[in-house]
Amino acid sequence: MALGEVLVQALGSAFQPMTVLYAFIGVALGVTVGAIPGLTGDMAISILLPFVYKVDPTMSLGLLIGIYKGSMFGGSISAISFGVPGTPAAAATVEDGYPLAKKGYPKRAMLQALYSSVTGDFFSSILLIFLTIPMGQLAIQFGPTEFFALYVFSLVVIAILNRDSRTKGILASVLGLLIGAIGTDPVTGASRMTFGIKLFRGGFATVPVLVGTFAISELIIQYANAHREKILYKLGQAKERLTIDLNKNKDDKYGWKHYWDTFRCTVVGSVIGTFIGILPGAGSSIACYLSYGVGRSVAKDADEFGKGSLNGVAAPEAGNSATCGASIIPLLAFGIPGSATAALIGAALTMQGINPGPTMFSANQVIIYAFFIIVLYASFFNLGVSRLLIPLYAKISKMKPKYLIPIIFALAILGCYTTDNSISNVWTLLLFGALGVVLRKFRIPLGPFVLGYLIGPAAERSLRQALSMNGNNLMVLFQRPIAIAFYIATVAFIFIICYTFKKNKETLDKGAHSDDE
Amino acid sequence: MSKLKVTNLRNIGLSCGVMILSTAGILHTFLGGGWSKKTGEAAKLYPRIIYGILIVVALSLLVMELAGRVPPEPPAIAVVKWWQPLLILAVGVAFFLFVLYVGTAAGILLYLCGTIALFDEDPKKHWKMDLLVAVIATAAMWLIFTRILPIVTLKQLLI
Repeated sequence: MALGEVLVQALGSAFQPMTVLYAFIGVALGVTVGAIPGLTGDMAISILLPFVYKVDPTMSLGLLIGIYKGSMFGGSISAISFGVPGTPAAAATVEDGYPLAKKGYPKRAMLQALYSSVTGDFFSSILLIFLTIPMGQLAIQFGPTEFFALYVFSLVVIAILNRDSRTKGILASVLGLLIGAIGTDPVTGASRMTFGIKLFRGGFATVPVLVGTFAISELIIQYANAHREKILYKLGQAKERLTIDLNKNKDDKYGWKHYWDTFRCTVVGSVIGTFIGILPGAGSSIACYLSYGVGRSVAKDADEFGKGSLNGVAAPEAGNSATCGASIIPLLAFGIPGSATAALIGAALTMQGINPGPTMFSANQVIIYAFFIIVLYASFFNLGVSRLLIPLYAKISKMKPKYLIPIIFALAILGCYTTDNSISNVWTLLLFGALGVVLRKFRIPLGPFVLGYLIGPAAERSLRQALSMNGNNLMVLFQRPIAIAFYIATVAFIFIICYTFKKNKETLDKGAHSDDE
Repeated sequence: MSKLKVTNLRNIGLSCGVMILSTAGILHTFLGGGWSKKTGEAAKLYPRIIYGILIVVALSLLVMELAGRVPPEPPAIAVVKWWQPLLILAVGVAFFLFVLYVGTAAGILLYLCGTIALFDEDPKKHWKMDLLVAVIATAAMWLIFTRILPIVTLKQLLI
């Protein structure tokens, strides 16, 4: 099909009234869940997975991308209003956003967060459009040897980017590989590692694994928090959250001058966030802290950081939002998600019969171009919806979890059941919910675990194909130039990341402590 | 040698647990059980590699923990007691069985009333609001599953 024809069809698909509506709802929903502490975009997307797979692919992409973008900004609302980040990605925003609110400038802080967030997101969306196709065309040249090297690179990056403990990062991704290996051999289709358990036959279905690991485990923790709040209330020790009045201070305004004054930090955050987003598994919480650390070193008011600097809001917000578009690039080009949220979007595509990766460029061209268009206009929806509804969102972020948690829990259970009317989905969901809590309890990161689970079967298939095509000679893995380049990049990356983390240890350590709160 | 902290002990337990289970896993690939007759040695190689890496990683974690490099546990996780996940999973199973045997609307309503009351600081004071939220949420979920989203399955379950 000619490019012009593809573009016309993609425009038609992206601007279908229902697709636009879904993207709009997605943004509004994303900002809402992001604003409520404890609820994240990952959770919302995973809960919606069972529902979106029967909708038209572009509509579901509109919804999911909208949630992804909206939740990035939404997290800053409660971070600024109460000093409690709505999502881990907004943890660094607390450092300066909350002091600004206490000084009487909550509206200025929120608008700074919004404009920097949209700028970072738009920057990475443009890169998504221009980088995905060349990278995808490169990936078409790959054979199993190159793909295996790419998987090794991805798994190493995923593991070492865990700030808490790199050992636990590796442990998480290897545990994910193990879970992905249970059920069926990806080459022969024979059953293996079932331990005689019926539930394990055929492996675990993707949706209940993702919903259980991300959503159910988070809900269990929120339940425990709600229970604790109840006990504190009975003991008379419950703390009331402060109410922020956005119209109290007449000087609390935001203008172009503020935007241009903080533009350098916004650009720094956008570039760092985009780079981090492209790396598999790095995620937005790392991007926000790195952006905050580097932003402080380039800002004119570096001494004001931590006391209520607008630059201290601009850098992390641009950084976390810039991961949105960027984390989709490796998903579309290579089939390897750049973040846990991108993995969920990849799972949604797979459920609709679209395999993320280089084959998409020949089989699903219209969807790819429609996706690019949706990614762009969702940024503008985010700007418009959030700008209008900031006062409302500030109130929503005070919503009590006692109502939300039971409803989301019920939606997750029924949603997973309906994916294929299978009771085993419900047991898998609950099993992985419990496993998710155990992993969190031991501070084993969920992102690498899930990415390991998703990448594992493909990595094994590539390894075995490469070996069987070359008489089981292990040296074949190190003989192709692109594969060698990936191994060199892996080693170089380890050194670069270790150096960068050491340099920004102070800010990253803060992130490690606030990440799971 | 300084005293080991609780988090050290937890991570040491984790390392030992992973090593024991991985060793058992490797033995399992040799002894069979859960492997179909068609499964060749190639299919067993990959799990063996994974188990082997797990043992090495767990061993290095053990060494690091014995050296006392312990990150503090975040508060949100620290409040979770071990019995709470089990209780909540039991609630999940009960909810699912409710829906299967009592019916969707009634099952969801019963579940929501029960769980909201369970976590309300003062259910006697807020019962009207709690009931209202439960009824509205039940109606909304019934609509979502049967009318708005094009899910046509589960007729016996959802209508």
